[in-house]
Amino acid sequence: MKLFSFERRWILTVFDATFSGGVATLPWKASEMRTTQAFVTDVFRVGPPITMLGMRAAIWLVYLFTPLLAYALPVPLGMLSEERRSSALEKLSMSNIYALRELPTLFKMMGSMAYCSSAEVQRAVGIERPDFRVPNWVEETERHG
Amino acid sequence: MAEAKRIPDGMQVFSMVSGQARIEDEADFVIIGSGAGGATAARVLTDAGHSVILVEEGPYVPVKERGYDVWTGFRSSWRDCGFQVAEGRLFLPIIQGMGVGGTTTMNGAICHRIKPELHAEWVRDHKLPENLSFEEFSRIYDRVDQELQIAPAPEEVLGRHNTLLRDGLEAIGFSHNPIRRNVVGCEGSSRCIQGCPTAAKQSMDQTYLPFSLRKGARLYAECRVSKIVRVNGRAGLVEAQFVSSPDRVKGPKATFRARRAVLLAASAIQTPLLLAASGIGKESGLVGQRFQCHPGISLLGEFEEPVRMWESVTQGYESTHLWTDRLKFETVSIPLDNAAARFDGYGKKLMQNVERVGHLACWGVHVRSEAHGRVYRDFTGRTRIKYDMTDGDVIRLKRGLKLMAKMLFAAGAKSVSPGVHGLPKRMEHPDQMEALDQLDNSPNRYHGIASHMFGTAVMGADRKRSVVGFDGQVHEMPGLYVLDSSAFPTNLGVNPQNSIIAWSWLCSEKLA
Repeated sequence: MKLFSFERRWILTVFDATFSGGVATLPWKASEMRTTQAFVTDVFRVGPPITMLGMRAAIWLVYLFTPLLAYALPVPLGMLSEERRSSALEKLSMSNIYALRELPTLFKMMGSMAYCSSAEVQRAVGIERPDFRVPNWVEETERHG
Repeated sequence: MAEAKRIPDGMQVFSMVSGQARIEDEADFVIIGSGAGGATAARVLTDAGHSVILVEEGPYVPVKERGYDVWTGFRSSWRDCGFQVAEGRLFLPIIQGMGVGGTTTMNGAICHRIKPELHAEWVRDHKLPENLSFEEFSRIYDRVDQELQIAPAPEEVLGRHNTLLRDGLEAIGFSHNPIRRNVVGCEGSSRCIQGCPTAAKQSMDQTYLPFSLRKGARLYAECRVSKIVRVNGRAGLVEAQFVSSPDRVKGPKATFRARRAVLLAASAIQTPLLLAASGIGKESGLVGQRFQCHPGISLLGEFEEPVRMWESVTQGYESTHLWTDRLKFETVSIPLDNAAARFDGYGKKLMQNVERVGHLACWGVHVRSEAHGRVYRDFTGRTRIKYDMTDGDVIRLKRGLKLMAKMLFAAGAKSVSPGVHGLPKRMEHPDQMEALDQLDNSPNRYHGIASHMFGTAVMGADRKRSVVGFDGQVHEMPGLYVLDSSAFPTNLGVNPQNSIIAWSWLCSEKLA
């Protein structure tokens, strides 16, 4: 399954809001990381189609309706300030409706696998591994798109 | 065919057969699944001189291709790339391996024997015969201990993460022990779930499968079985198709003929699906029913001192002190790229937690749940797992969480993050966990996972009330045997790998 470029932008916006500011010592946003960009392509390519379809619907819901659900603001997530995006996601994650509070959690889970898997982030928080290497799927994705 | 060069002799994978029209092969035994059950059967039968074909749906992942990141492991060695869930009031991720070696390649290498009390319960309630006595199981466990070099995790690789649990358990007066694991030379790199990077884990792809291949077994990986067919009234033919992993490109169809028997060891999820696809289950109505597992929940504790989870055995310490109360406690060192999903907050708050990862401990409690679910294919052909914890299960989990918070604080944690909807995000005193009792028993307040599946093709003497006999043979199809935990009457309350090995070994011995 391949995302439209706007859907891809939306998911990266959600990742940036989730990991807003990033690790203090690193200058990059989550969306600027090589692993994050490759992950978004790869997970939709190899993930179970029905799950990815659900994930795609979740992108639309989270991006378009989080401000409405969190602050009664009928604007998409990208229209909020960076700080408000994060707090909107946080607010949604505290909803008493299970399906709603799971939506941001889903993106936190996905975003963690992307952003926190990078050697730079891990090194920045003190995880040193002698065999750090760029995962095969990052190179594969960059080769084939 | 540069890729084919690193594939062990006797094994064929998608890239080696993709140009061919059809694959056909024949052996005494055709084994479906190469995890604990299937690999053990291959080990026993090839050792006895029989010819064996193994058919494995997942890929072969050489040690050098195992990454340090979680997604590399998920996409190559986890079923549904780690997205498999049981559906109920809570969507519960079900952890299961898929590849050559099955779940043994991505589990915590934890080796338990069936508890004598549970075995006695099986004898009493399910009429287990003499050939499945506790002594018979123990005979196999002893042998497997030697062959897979099972021993308690040594002090030097426990790391602070595991010894903190020991401190906590000691402080509240619970019995405890380092976990017995099937490893040789484990360096404590905390990467069990991605697949051991040093081949220290004595998983089936490092032990019984190479043994069987050396004895002449043939293994077809990335080959998905669709049906088991009768020949002259017995299971005699296995229909399959090669499907590449992880991109799901379809390859040639395959037919495997079994002269003696077909052995099914595809897990308590895939085994009943294959039985149903082969027309089995009408007599008892139990195929895919009575699904059980071990739901588990973790607590995060923040310590002043460095914990550095990643410098320890993934799962090195445990307590079965409350096993009779259906609870088990253990360390679970989760990699950052998985653990961050469990950290509190979004934005800067989340990042503060990420930066504190070196001071966090993650301990889990799992429950020997009473709930039964079911496994089936829906009208679209999709695998569905329906499962919901009972009120009793949730009440036990609450008790486990309260106790685990006590352990964390007793070990020196300055705060605990419960991750429970309706509780404060951060607690600074164990008594705050008492608030759990004020919450209803809705399972979806928790973020958990489930592992260890059982019971979907249960064993028994009565063909109306069971799917397989005490020799593993399917009542409705002579010559077809179920050699995985589908046949177990109940869940175990401990990790099932070795009991699956023992069950498979006992059944295979009789066939040899």
